[in-house]
Amino acid sequence: MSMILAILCGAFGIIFWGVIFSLLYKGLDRKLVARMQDRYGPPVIQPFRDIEKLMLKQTIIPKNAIPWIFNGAAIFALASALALFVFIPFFYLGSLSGADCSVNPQLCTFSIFPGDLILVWYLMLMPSLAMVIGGFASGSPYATIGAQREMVLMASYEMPLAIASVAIAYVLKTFSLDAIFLTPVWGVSGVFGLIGFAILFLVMIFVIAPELSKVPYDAPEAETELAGGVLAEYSGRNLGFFYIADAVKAFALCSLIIAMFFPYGINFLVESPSLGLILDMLFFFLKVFLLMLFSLFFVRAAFARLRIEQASRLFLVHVLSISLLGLFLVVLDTIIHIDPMPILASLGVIL
Amino acid sequence: MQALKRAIWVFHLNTGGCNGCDIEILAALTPRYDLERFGIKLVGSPRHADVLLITGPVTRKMEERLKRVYAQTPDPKMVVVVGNCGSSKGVFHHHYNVVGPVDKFVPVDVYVPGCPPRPEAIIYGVAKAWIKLEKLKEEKK
Ligand code: SF4
Repeated sequence: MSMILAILCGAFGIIFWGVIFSLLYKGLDRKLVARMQDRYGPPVIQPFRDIEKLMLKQTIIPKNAIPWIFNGAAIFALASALALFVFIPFFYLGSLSGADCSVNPQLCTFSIFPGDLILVWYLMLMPSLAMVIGGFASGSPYATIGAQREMVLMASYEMPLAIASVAIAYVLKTFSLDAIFLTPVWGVSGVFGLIGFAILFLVMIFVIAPELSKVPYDAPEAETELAGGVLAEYSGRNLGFFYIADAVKAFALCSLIIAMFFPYGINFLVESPSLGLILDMLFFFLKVFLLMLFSLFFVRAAFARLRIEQASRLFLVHVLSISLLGLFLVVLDTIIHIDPMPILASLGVIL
Repeated sequence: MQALKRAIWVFHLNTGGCNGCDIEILAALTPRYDLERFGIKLVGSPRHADVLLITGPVTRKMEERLKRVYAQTPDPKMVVVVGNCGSSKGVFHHHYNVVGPVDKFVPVDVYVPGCPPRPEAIIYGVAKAWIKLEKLKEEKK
């Protein structure tokens, strides 16, 4: 019983801190992009003020909307985004919902439902899906066009994402996040595998922006042409829910990609385990920041919006073929395994 | 209310002006003036807005739209009129297609005079809208 209580408290704690850090990253995003454009920019805590204000505002439900779907979509988006925090291993081993006993029996204190990569990808998809449903339910032509575009975009970027996940699962023979976290793919693959995973990692970085419908793939929410697109009819509290869900998704997606490709910590630098954990945490936040900097901030500051069919073609043709090449190399690696160590040693890299 | 002061989202509506004021509003967003440092953000839908920034006199066709946009904005909301012609019809005074200044149709909180006003004046006007909101709060007490 106390176990369950502890887990519940833990879940609330991690969701609380997760939301705070997600919003801070969003504030950093706005500040840094403003600095890149030679503006002063809003303070880093601006998203908190936005949220506070949105919660104070009146929540209008349009006459043409279907109220329960319209409101439900907002809650659904927030809930599924928050549920991500329970399953993703951040800088510690084992997600909050329990360690995967089949992977590391010595750490297996409890296990309710460990969750895996597939579940997390579906949860990641839910907020966008909720936006589409809410957009259609709001009965506004702008929101409907936005929802259609969002669906097209979703259909385009999901394929490369799935390929990258399948490649990892193919090598490690499991979808368990704990296993992926414990055995970074770089350690177990040969030369072809290394190249393949490097390609897939780049593909993942590329897919972050459309997954979050950020510039240059923000055609579903285009403010200048679609009046806010899918969110055009949302106001007050509902808009606030989507705002938080968006920030949370950005943070969770970056954490997941880090857990998949770069789960290394720096706790070997110090003796005591608690200090190590703190160091790991700081290092983790640095990693998330760097990933966001290159995949979101720079891109947002530098590019204009792509038309939806341009974005779709980019992902369905170019990114998809590149990720298929990555998958091919990874599979090739399991057939012809070339140990990378001698090659690295001959290049003078000391490991 | 404190939060609203620091996170004003602005929806911009042209009810028939010459576009001069609209260009000045955009100038207020450029790096030189940078509205965003006060947390002011231009949004695309009146549903997201706290402040309606209205430019131009109200033409016959826009009258209905103006009222609708006002009704679509969630409370608490403020209306800022930018430019002479929105405040008093200005250079469009005797036009056959102009039905009146903005305050004939919706309650206006702040007028920013000028044809067009400078970006500083527009920022100042939006800032004045906060004060209006404080007054409302005190009246309620
Ligand atoms: S006030 Fe002057 S500049 Fe502004 S819209 Fe009217 S006529 Fe144009």
